[in-house]
Amino acid sequence: MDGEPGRCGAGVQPRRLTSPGCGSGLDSLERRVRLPSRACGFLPMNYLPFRLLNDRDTFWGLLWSRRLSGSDLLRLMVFIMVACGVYGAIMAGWRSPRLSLYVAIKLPLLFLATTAFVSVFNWMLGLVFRTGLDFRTTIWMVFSAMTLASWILISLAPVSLLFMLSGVPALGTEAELQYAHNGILVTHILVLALSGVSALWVLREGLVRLAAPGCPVGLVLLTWIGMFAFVGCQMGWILRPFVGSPFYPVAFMRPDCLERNFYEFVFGEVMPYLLQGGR
Amino acid sequence: MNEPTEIKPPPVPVFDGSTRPGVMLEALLKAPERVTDAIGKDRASVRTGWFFLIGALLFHAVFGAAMGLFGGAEAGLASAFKAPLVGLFALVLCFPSLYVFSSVGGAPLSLRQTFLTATSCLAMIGLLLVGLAPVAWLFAVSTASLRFMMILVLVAWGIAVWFARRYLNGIRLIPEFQQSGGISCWFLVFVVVSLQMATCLRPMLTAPTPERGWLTSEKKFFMAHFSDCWERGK
Repeated sequence: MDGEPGRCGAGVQPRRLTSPGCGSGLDSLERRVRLPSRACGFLPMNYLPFRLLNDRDTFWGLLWSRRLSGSDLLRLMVFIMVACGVYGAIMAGWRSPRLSLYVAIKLPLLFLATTAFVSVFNWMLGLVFRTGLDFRTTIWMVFSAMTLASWILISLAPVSLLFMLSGVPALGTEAELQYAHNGILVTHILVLALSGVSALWVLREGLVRLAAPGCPVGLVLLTWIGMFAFVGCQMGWILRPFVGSPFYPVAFMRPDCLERNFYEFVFGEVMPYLLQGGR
Repeated sequence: MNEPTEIKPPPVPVFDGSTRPGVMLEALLKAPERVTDAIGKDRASVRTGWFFLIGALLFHAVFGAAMGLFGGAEAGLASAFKAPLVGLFALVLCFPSLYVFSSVGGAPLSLRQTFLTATSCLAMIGLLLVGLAPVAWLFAVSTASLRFMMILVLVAWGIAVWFARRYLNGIRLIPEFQQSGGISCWFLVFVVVSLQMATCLRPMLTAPTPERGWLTSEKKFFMAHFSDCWERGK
């Protein structure tokens, strides 16, 4: 494995790691998680976000054996900030360079703030469901999922850039601008949804590998995702605009951002509108 | 009286395990699983990838010329340049996502494998398109209906894309790449990006007008563009 970073985890079914207290298990794990000394081509495979992308077997092993430090976590955070920043800049680029800069700051903030808000509760849920995960491991798992979501965002940045440069006119009639805004909005929603699904995939993988045998992995995952979605929607609501509407002035945050919440908007305006047939 | 001779089916093509570019290109049609096997087991060289890419661009050019003749010789010439560019740009834009999606999906490709997978996929589309080029040419010179040509080109491209999708699915036969959901997901992205690139490089079927040159600076989503063409073709 040492000579082949990025290959050892390919195609294997998720398997649960045994207790770190077992002597022979620990020995084999030590062999398994040893960091390879050489990089693969010009890609820095030892860089933790790369390892998480290419060799998650080893990554879960490192996490399980507590060989990941605070500075490693910081590396993941920096990666999330850069990747989300780049994608954020593209996301609002069609509207104005100023909004582009704002969203380059706000999108990483949305990811990191949502994680920060839900971490304690997710850890408690883990305790209730007897996952056997401590706070540190829970935090690591959540940031790992966010890192994978960021990988998806950065990899789709060229695609979003194409749609921004070739699909969205900056000028036009009201109907044309509305169509362009809706089109780019749907594009970004699909990209963000895809990144969310990939994060979910990694969270599930992490739980299967690291949680105690017999714990309800599906239920834990469901509650974690529910919590992420609940808080994430509100954070997104507060930090809006992200894509930027052509009918509103460019601003870092809307003046009414704290006046009501996302759910009041959905149940107070969107649902009645839909139930009345759009009248 | 002579006994009737037994009629046997033609032999199944057997490849000698060679990974020479020419053999691999032939294998794309005759035994695509051999190509995926060579890519998955890291036996195919980067040179093969370049060969796939050049082949794909040539095949796209042939199809582009055939369909472009609908708008006259000039349009045919322009489309012969534009069609390969659609494929090439779509491939370049989607290259990072193929690398990332395959890894996230649990079947990590190396950079070389990513390059080979992407170029072989484009070559597969190109091969099918070049097979359909005579049909496209026949209708291009014998119909004046833009709507009909639009449907024909989209159907031809759809058939090629369907075969490319089937080819990519073959990678699941390799034990290390059984979890190929990420690659399937990438393929969807590739299809959407190709459609947007075709919109970006329009017009491809009609000759340029004084108002609209060979390339237009007007920005448009591919669905809006196809809808406009449909209306215009009435």
